Amino acid sequence: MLKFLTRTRRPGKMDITDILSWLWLTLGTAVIAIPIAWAMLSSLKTQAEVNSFPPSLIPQSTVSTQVEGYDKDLSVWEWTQASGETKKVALVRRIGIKATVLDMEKPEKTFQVPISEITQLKDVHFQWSNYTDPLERFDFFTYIKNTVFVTVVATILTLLLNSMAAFALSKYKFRGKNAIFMLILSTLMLPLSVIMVPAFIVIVGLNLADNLWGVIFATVATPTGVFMLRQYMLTIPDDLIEAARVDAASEFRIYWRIVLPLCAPALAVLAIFSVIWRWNDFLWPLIVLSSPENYTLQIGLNAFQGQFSVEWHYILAMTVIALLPVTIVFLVLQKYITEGVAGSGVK
Amino acid sequence: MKNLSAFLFSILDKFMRLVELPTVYVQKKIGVQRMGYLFVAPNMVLFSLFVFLPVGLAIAYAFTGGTNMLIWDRPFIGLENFSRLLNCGSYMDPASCEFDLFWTAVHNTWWYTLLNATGTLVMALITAVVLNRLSKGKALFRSIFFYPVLLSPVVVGLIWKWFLARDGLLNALVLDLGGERTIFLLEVWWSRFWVVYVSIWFHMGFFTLIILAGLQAIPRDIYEAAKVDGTSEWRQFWRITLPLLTPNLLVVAVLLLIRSVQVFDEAWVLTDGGGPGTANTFIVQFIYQTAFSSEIRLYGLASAASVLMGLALLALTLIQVWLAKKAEY
Amino acid sequence: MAAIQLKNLHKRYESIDVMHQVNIDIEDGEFVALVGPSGCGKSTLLRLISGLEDITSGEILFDGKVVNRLSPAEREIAMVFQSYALYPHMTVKKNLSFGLENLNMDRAIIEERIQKAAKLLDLLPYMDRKPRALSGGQRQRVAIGRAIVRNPKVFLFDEPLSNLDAKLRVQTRGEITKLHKKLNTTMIYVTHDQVEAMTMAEKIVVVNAGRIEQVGKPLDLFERPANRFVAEFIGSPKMNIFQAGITKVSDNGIEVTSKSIGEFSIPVISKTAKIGDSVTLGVRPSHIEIAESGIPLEITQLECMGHETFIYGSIQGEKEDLVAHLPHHFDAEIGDTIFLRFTSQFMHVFCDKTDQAFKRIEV
Repeated sequence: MLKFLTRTRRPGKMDITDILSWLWLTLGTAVIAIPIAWAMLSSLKTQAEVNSFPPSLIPQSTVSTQVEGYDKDLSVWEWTQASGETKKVALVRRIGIKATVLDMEKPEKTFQVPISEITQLKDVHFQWSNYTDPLERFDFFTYIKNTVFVTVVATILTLLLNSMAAFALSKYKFRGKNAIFMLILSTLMLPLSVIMVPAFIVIVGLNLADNLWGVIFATVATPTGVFMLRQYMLTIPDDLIEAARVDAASEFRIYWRIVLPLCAPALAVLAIFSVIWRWNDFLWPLIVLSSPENYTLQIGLNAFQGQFSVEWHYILAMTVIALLPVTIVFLVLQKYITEGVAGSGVK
Repeated sequence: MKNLSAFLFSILDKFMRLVELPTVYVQKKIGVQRMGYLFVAPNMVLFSLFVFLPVGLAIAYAFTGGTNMLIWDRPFIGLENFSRLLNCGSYMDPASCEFDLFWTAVHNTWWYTLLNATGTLVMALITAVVLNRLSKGKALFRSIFFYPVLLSPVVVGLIWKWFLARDGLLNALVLDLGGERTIFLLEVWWSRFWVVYVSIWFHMGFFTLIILAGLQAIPRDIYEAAKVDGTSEWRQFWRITLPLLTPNLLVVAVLLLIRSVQVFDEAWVLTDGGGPGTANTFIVQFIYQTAFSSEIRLYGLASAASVLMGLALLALTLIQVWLAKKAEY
Repeated sequence: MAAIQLKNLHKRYESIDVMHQVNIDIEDGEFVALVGPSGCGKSTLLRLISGLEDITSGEILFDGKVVNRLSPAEREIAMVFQSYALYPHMTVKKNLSFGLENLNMDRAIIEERIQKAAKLLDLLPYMDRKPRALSGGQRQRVAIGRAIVRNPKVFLFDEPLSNLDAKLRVQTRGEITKLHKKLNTTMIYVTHDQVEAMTMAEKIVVVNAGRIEQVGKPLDLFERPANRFVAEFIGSPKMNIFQAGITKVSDNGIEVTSKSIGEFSIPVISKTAKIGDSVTLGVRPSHIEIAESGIPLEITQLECMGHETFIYGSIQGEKEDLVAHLPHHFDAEIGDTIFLRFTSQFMHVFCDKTDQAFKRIEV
């Protein structure tokens, strides 16, 4: 690994620049990875452990055992005897600085040891219920369902509507075409934050407030998508479309059977982006959605962390759920994503 | 599996044939070339509803008062919203303004923008240059540095909130090193620092990628010529890379400014709504609160603030377009 | 199958006229070539006939019916594009069947038709391949197959051979001719290569700058070009051109004099001729003979092919080189001076004012 990291343009020679850039990369990776890894690890801890300070690195929990004659499980401790020998004991009760314990091998007899001589045993333990509880006890299942719905529907509509517009703008001659294209391009730089107030009023006017369709409709017509697909469609030869016209295909069929399949690579890139955008959307759903049964995961998670700000074990587990799909998409398709971003400058 | 997809495709095909019928009728009526109108129509309808109409409405609302939502129920009050927003004893001192929160937000946004844009630009530039030096592993590190960009603002806010919490990892490290336990997000200056830090952490990868693309566009042979001349790598950076990259960097810088002015999401989550107090309240948050989360919803005032911010962004965008045009030559 | 008439066809693109008052009659089952230099409007003319482009004014008739407003499919035409325009995401089979599926034809009939076309064009082994896995010639055959399966009334070809190498071009030329004989369907073929037009077509339409220069049988165009453009465009190597003036006009023809090559009396209809008018003389390279005495020529280049010889040389007083084509071997060397004889009944005379040819008196 070290050899791989330190490999430079001139093999065998390491100068100060190489060391510095190697240092930058390692440090950067650490700065990026540690908070995320820390949140992931913490999401698997028990509530007690999440709240303990100083924190432990690996999710652990105390070891306990069942002993005949005792109703409750007893916690397991390690007893370091004066001789230096160690022994596993189960704690029965604690009084002052003395603890009543029993030897796990001979559980019939209890005896007393000073507390300073015993330490509690801990095990690696993943608290998966952090993930399942919020789904059952809180509305997170609904949030996830809503987010999946918004993401899938909005992405399909984005692909269809934007490709249709791009088709019109790249392959037809009609009056006002350039004006329409310029109009769409000019909105490329218009941020939601500037128009969020009136856009919400439009949503209210359409009776789509607190409705998932209100979230969807406002996001599907993206100038980025139209622009990206149009650029791609310009590379499809017009001959193909005319050949299809001669072949008695209607214009709609040309779109559906010729243009869409040929745009598959560009559509895939747009689909990836759309899924990520819609999954992560925050400000717009925050404005549109008001009742918890309509919340998306991001909104629900934000509301939850405001309301139950001490339940970090749940908050973190749901945070991991929220970042998981995007992470998987990125792991599988990172090449397309980074190249798509570098190529088109969209995010 | 293959049968299933073939089956699904045949259903889709049948459905599309149904959709096709009315379009064939329209095509007969209006001719082939005008079918472009039909294809662009759904998109234009949504654009009109959610972009063009709101732009018009934002301006219209900015000149009306009252608390009614419907535009025809709102009295025209001319420039009153603007004059109230801009009514200040001294623009340097938010407390002297009629809407002190707005001016606090403006001040906060100004400083945030300055620090965030500078910080991100420097970090992204260094990272891009370092990545560009790599012969192997470039794709791997590029992906690592880009990954945070794909996270949601809520996720980023929560991850860092946890990291910086009273019982968080950072405090554990600080204590270990003999420092004092600090509740970072409740101290004015610390919280401001961390908002900028988290923003850089969040968005740096995006700008790294764009700068890296610019770096890769610099022809290799220029460097090779420099190497033959015995130019050191540092000198190469200052004398070749930076001058050739400057047009690109300017475009990136303005883009960064545009993005920074709109700061809201992750800062809002991280600081529990702009706290402590109003230390991290930004303009977008002011607009959001004025229009949506205050007792009396002041759409007119919020719109006026939006229009002011929109004008600032428009100016930046025009500069960017101008710079981008210049960079092409 | 269809007879096609173009009446006063006019096409304008954004206030630029690209086709002027075109009139052509094409008979049912005829093989017509549209030739002309690149950019002359021959492809535009084809696209107007196909219905891919709307005409500005005039009429297009198929079998006497006006089809101005009909789409390509409704006109029942099929077209082979210069780029072949095969659908890259479909197999050969899908490429062939796509047009038939669009007509909602019965599956069994579609299958039968594409099998027949594939057999005819030797495409059976490639049916499941995508176009990118085919050679240039194979793609070309798929493009033709896609046209055949639809049983069109008219085949339109837009420079279909220009993407093939020379050998394949000659071979495919023969195949298309054979195909025409077999199907007996009207075919309109656009090419900039006059050799292609001469060898394949039954009728040639020479197009220049959006106008029809001449319509006729291949040999007619060669022997009786209506104007200077056709005379120079048809025939390879190019016709030799000399400046001259009319010195005598009679019922049997006119007498012309040129400073460089002398006097000739040419048997043409002389009604419009006036003494003193300047004219252009044209002599085809193959109508030049070697003689003991006559017009002296200094040889600058020789191409001996064994069974034929091309001689290039300069005549005193002429700027442009002359070409002579002899149908046999000829011994000479560069720098030699030889003597040429032009036979006056094979000479063409064009009026310089109108560029039109004086019509020959037919014997």
